[in-house]
This record gives sequence, structure tokens and C-alpha cells, in this order.
Amino acid sequence: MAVRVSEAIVLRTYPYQEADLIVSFLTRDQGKLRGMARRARRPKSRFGAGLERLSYVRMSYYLRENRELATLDSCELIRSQFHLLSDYSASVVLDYIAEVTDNLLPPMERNERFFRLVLAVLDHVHAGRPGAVWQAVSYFSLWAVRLAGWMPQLEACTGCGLSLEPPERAFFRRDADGVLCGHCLPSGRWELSAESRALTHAMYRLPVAEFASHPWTKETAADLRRFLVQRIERAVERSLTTAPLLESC
Amino acid sequence: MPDFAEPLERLITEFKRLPGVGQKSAQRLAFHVLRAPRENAERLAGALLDVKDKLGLCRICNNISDADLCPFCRDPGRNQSIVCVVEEAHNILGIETTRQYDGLYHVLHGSLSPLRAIGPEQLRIKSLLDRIAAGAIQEAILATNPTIEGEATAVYLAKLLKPLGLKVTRIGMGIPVGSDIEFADEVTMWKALEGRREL
Ligand SMILES: [Zn+2]
Repeated sequence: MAVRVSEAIVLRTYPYQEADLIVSFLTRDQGKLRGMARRARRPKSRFGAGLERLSYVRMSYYLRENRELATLDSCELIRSQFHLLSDYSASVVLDYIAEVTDNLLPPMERNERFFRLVLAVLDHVHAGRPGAVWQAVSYFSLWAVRLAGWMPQLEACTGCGLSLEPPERAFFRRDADGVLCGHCLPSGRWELSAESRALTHAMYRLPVAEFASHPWTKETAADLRRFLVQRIERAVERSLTTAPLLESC
Repeated sequence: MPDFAEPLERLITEFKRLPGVGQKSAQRLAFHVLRAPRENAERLAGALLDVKDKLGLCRICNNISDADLCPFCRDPGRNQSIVCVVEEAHNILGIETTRQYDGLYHVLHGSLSPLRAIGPEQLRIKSLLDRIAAGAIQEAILATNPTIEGEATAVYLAKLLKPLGLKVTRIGMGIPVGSDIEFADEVTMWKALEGRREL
């Protein structure tokens, strides 16, 4: 059996037996995989810091035909997120990115655009400008939902088809697809502001790095973030552990 | 229909809940218990219940203890001015085997991990702050694991503790003894350089 080498981003790990780890990782060329890293928690493991959350690595592994679980041989660290720990909110944002990616992507389905998205938002957080983590989380959520095929169109009411061109207001609710007009959703609703809707168009068009000079705080597009988290939770049919922590940090 | 008589099946099921025990091992353990004398089974059952009934957490440091205070907090010979902060009670054992440390401990019962829904409120941080506010502690050694979660916890604690006016240190991280620098990755090497000391 030949060893495979893939560029990969480590999503999360689960301790297994004495010193092993089961690792969920997203490869550029094979999609999301799971693998067993033997003795990875021992001090002299050959994985070093490579299996930490969102480490960008060159992973060497064996994958048998018809087997769910790869055997990890070693990994070479390309970029680690250890530098980003000075601030708790960055920690929460990175865990959120890992959780969404791990839950949203089906196993063993190549999705290179998703892989590039994760790398781009990580680079953006590394650049470390004020507001970068909140830009990263909004940009990532929007594109994650879109690339996974769950993004509804925001231009018209999904109930009656009314155009939601501003000043027409748009609303949403956890258990409804897309956005609705005030008639179709009179209560129990959140509003998706015209500014946030305009921002989605900008984010579709531009790479995340282009937003570096854009003034951005945690409040910017908070409604859009809520809308997107609801889409993700609907798609994966469970609630995200990190989403409430994101809002409280 | 189950493969074994009901009581045996139940024992196998219970063994299988233990970490690292699969069907085969659970069967082996269950048959061992079945063949062993009754006293052995009673001792095992008693030990299992005692762990649950007689152990609690030390009132001061949250270490696992069979009394109000754990042996470290009870011992007046320990250095009362220094506290070593660890993630789990079993981490204390590793530090004690060095015989190089004679201070006190504080067990957090975990590390910050948003992915596992563990935020600052889920850790025993408040009781650490209370101990430091009491005034005797002059140094806190942050001995959380050298992982993303352990490091994030240490950085978070350092921010809370430093303004209280005590010395805050982090255990050394870097090249493991007996390995070769050639094989160290970027983070390991960086942490080793960061933690260098004068000889
Ligand atoms: Zn104690």
C-alpha cells in the first residue's frame, strides 16, 4: 500500500486509547478524511505540533480501499495557529471554523474551494488587523454555506416572491428557508438589514483580504452571522457548540 | 437473542463502556470475573463503589481527595507561597515524580476548549483567584498541556493573574529530552527558543 501525501488542515482530534488520536482533517485533494495517529500524545511523537486544531500540514497517510479510517504516518507542519492564542475571541473563532468545516462537509468528497476558503480566512486572522477575526467569521460563514450548497437567494421573499430590494425589509426565522417579507413573516423573526445584505454581495465578489481596511467590529453583520449559523445548523441538523460562545466572547 | 446469560451479558456491556475496552476484551474480563472466587468479585465491586462514595474534591485545590483537604494542602511542610496550576488531577503525579517541586497545586479540571463547550466558567478559575486574593501565594506556575487548548488556557490565566501582583510562570515547552533538534517542527523550535535560559 503506497503512502499518500496531501496538503491538509487538521479540524479536530479525539483521544483514543492510551496515547492515540483520531484525527479529522480536510485535504486539498481528497476532501475530509479521518485517520488514526498512533502514539500522537507521547512527547516524542512524530506528529509534533502538527495535529493541533487548524494546523496546516503536509499529511502522509495510508488509505485502504473501502476503509473509512486512514492510518496517519507523519505530518510536516506548514503553518500552525499557535501564534494566535493571545486573545480568547480568536481561539473561539478558530474553533468555530473547525467545527463548521468538520460538520458541514461530507467525508471523502473533494472540495478544493472550501479548502482554499479556510486557508484564506486563517491568513486573514494571522494578518491580525483590528476586527480581522469578525471579518473572518462572517466571510467564512457566508462562503461555507454557499460552497456547501445551502445559501438561499436574498433578493426575493421565499413565501410570496416579492422583491426585497431596499427599502423593502427582509426577515428570517430558524425553521424557514431563505428570507421573507414582513407580510409572510409577521412575528417571531429576526431582520436581515439592508447593509448586511449589501455586504453579502461585496463578500461574494471580493477576497477576504480586501476587507482589511473596512471598519469592522463584532456588531458588524451580526444579523447575517445569526442567519448563517441558523442555515448551518439546519443543514447539519444539530446545534453548533461554538456558536453561542462566539456571541458571548 | 443475546449470546450469553443475561447477568453475563450485562457485565460485558458494562466493561465495554470503559475506555479502550472492546467486545473481545470485555468478554475476557467478564469470564475472568465469573471464574474467580466470590471474594475477588466482592473486592472489585467494593473498590468501584468506594471510588464513587469516598472520594471528592479537595476544598482548596480541587485535587481528588478522600478527605476535606488533599495530602498536599494538609502538609505544612509544602511551600505555601507557590502554586502549580494543572489541567487534571492525574497531572500532579507527573510533577511529583520529579521530586523537584514542593509547592501547592491547583486543579482546573480541564482546559479552555470552545469546541468541547468548555469556557472559563466551566473551569475552577474562580477558586484560584480566591486563593491568590488570600495573599500567601507569590508565584503561579502554569503547567497546562503544551497543546492549543492548554496554551490558550495559560495565556488566559496569565492575563487574569498578572494584575494581581504575583509572579506568573509557564512550564518550559520545546524539544523533548533524548530527541534530535533536526526533527523539531516550527512551533516546537519556536517554543524552545522562547523558553531558553542563561547558563
Ligand atoms: Zn488540595
